[in-house]
Amino acid sequence: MSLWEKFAPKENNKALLICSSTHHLLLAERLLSDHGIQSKVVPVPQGIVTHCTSGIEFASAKEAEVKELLEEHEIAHEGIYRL
Amino acid sequence: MIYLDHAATSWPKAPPVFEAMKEACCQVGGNPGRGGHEMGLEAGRRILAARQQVAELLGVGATRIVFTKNTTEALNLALFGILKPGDRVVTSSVEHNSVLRPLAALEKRGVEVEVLPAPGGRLDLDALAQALKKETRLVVLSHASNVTGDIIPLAEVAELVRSSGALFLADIAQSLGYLPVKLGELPVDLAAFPGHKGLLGPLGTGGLYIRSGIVLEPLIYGGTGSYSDSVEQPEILPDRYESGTPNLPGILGLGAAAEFVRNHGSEIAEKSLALAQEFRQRLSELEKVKIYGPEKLAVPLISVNFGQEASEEVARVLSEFFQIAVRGGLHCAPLAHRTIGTETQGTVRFSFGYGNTQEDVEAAYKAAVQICLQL
Repeated sequence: MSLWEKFAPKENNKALLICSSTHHLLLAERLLSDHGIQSKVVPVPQGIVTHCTSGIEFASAKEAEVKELLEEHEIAHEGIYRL
Repeated sequence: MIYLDHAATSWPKAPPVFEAMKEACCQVGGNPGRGGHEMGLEAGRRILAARQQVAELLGVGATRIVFTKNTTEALNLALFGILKPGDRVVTSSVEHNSVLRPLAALEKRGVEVEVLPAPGGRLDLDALAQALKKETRLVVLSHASNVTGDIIPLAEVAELVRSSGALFLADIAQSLGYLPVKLGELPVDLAAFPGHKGLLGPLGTGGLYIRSGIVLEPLIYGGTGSYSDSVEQPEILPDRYESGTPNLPGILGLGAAAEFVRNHGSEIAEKSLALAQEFRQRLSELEKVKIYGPEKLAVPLISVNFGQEASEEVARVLSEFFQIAVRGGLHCAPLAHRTIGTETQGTVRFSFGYGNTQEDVEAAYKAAVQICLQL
């Protein structure tokens, strides 16, 4: 269990979006908020190889909608992971 | 939020800073140096006063101070302005990317770059003396490391470099405001500084000190409000390096900050250092905390790790669950982390400054204990 999870009990059915830079991460956070999708900036768990140390956690049920928004708004991202 | 990230930028800013910025927006509206009207002249007078305030703090003449948007721009101006293909430059492995990235770009243009070792974060002065036996155009070193807080003996290093015939560029991003830096009394040729860290000025401000007799190639060219009949860049300072409309609110805020630090700086520095030193002492009692950098602090920052935890994750935990702002990661200094063996984990950096109190030390220590209990 990661240090983060010891303080924040793990919630089921979450997905993690990893963007390519902080600029794109904040763009994505704003975009999701504007579309009523609840999200939270969280540290990227160890084991996921990325240059970004923070990701955006959101309900995995929203994954298709999030993917569409990312494409539509050209948000540079490295991937979406199921947690 | 308890703010312990002063090494990234100080917060809050000193009250005269935002008063000066407000005045710049509401009462001093003209474009300095442009047009013959009174509002432009008044803006110019205010910028001159700010330049004098900064110069006085650094112990140099006002004409030798060039304003930039940050230390990074000042370093770029110095490095690209001095170094030509075939030149040799010496630096160290604890430098920030604001030095290492311009040097990597210059290396591709034919500049020879030597990076000196800094075992454990401390510059090896013998290695520097050895490196200077070879003809060198410039030495660039940070006065205080933004990762470990280690400092170099500035006067000794500057003397050594001067006696070799090379120029010396000091990066004083982490020391200005915390350590006395009287550039006029040292054989320092160029010094890059931020307005927004130890000076308590606005973000997006900084500058470069250029010793008399040194001429740089400008980084940007354009209108200066002077010599407008010529398409050639003027040679006169500060115009040569300050093309385009300046950041009037930022610069006036910076001037007020320099004045504030000149009057209260030693008191702020002393208090910040005492808090940081006490925090270091208390952390040293926690078995699972590894501390990097000197035992006796010179600047109020401490880099640590908690067990094997990723530093960014610890920083997010401190922010989210303890409302403590610190910086995790590599702090834009990858070689420094390679030097101290933390290139994968990074470090959690606690940096103290203006406004911090004894209660902040207590809260940060209690949070550290809670984190250790979870390891």
